[in-house]
Amino acid sequence: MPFPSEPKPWSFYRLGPTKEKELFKRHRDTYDGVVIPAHIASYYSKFCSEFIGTLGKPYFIDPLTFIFSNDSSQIRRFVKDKNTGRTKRDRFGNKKKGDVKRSYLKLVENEYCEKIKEVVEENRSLNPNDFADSKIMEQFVNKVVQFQLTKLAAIPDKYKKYEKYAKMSGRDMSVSGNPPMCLVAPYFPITTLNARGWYPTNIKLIQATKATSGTIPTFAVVLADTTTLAQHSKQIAEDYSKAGTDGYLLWPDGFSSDQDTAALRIIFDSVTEFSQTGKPVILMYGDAFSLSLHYAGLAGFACGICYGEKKLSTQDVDIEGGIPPRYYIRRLKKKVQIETEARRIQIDQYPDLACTCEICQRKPDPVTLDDAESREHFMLTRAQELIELRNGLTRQQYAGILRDAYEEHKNDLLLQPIGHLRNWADILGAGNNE
Amino acid sequence: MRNTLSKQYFSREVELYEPLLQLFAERELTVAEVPFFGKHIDLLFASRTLISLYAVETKLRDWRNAFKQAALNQVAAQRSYVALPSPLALRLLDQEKELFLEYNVGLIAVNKTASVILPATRNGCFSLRHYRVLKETIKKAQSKKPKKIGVVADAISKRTKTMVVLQTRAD
Repeated sequence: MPFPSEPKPWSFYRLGPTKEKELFKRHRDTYDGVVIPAHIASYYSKFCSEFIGTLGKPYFIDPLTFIFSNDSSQIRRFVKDKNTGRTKRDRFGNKKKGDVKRSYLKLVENEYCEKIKEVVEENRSLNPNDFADSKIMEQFVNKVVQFQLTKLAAIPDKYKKYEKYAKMSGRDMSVSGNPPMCLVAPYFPITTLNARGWYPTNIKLIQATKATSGTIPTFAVVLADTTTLAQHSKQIAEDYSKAGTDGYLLWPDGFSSDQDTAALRIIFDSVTEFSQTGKPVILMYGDAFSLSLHYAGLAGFACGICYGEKKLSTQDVDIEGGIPPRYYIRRLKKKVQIETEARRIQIDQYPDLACTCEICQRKPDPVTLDDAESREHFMLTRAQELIELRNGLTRQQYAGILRDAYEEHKNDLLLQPIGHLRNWADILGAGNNE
Repeated sequence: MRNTLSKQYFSREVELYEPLLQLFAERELTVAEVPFFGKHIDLLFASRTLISLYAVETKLRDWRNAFKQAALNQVAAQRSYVALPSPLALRLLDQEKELFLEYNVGLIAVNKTASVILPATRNGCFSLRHYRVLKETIKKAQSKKPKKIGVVADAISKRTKTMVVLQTRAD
């Protein structure tokens, strides 16, 4: 599957563990591609290959290799109380951990190399010395590449009969071969460029992936915090480019777009640096700030459907109950919780915040939207935002839109915080007049 | 009222709790860190019957954040307050009184003692369904053994926000 055919910026949705299949299908025109995390591709391989095969959208698999360099407890499940569903705690109040999560276990045991299995069994973190032997690295890269190339490339035989109907309706549904739009080289966090960190290993992993990827483009993940990006973006862009990467998947570790302008500036400048190599830059986790980064040369960004728009690589997420449904307010570029904020704010009282998507036309009061509807609203609204940019909205015009929204609502306490609008506008306004 | 309040320095929000417990001493149940749709209500005061709920949000400086949270608490609690160190609370009474009145949010000034300087009133945002959700949550807490304020302080410092029933009269 080639890159998305739509003009940039591309929007990718990350497939999550929640019931989203219908949303992906119903609103397939609102996004440009899908990201499948490796543990989901492995654990739900039949579902994922069916899903991806019938969707007919570009996709790639995030190999999630960084997780093995983190604290070994991160791939272990939290022990839950069967009655309350809450996580059990030890006598010091710390959350209890159990066995390796089943989804990762399958990845470790069936898909990745012996070294990963060994590290997990030893209950320790992977370190660069584990790849000192070039044969081990080669085996690891081969396994990770093969996993991405083959896992979701063909849909089950029972769906073959639908291929001709798909063709008749002008849809692309290939049952024989549906490779990912790119291969993602195994990756680990960059904290320093010196030989003791993961950086030299990352470069070798990119080279090895490129050597085995054939005609499919190889993308390199740049997983680094803002401090590292501020100091080394240019160097990383050059070194990774020389290693043969065809594109960058940028993951500013722990970055949140509500941070101060200094942090925003680092990300904006980093995207500029990477995009100046002439290769596409896709943000691995991005929220509405990604729309501003379009003006720095960002080719695309990924997130979950109305969640998962930022991530700290070392964060050990413990899900206790579901994510409360949230409503995305396009003009404020933020989400509010439906049960409390939307109910109290009474968004329908603000004419400029009213949404015209098909969901909101049917149900104008956001309080009445259920979880699925609020996500549908998110997909439809995000698509409108993308169209606006693709239609040639200039950097200054976009900055003006953000600033106007801020000025209009900066004193409305129930709509706070909205300082991000001013900060994003400042970042855009400080640049040239494209 | 201003003359009765002597200066008191607070370094942590939890230090405001003891005067607040004294202020709401006639309420039989005091629960801290009450989970509510993904957020936590700092303090919730109620009678044994749980018919009337009084929510209090405490802050040392960022009163805007407390105000917003207090306004959100109105969805489930009949009365909702912001409690602040008295110099800040008194300044807000002078400068932002209309805002508090407009949103029906009450204001409490805390020093060595706490006093309501602007009463909270009910408004149309109250939802019976949300009230019942909150009521069910604190019903579960009723069976718990009341603890001293220090327990809440420990929980906050460890960032483990666990609902705690507090002793209604400070030791």
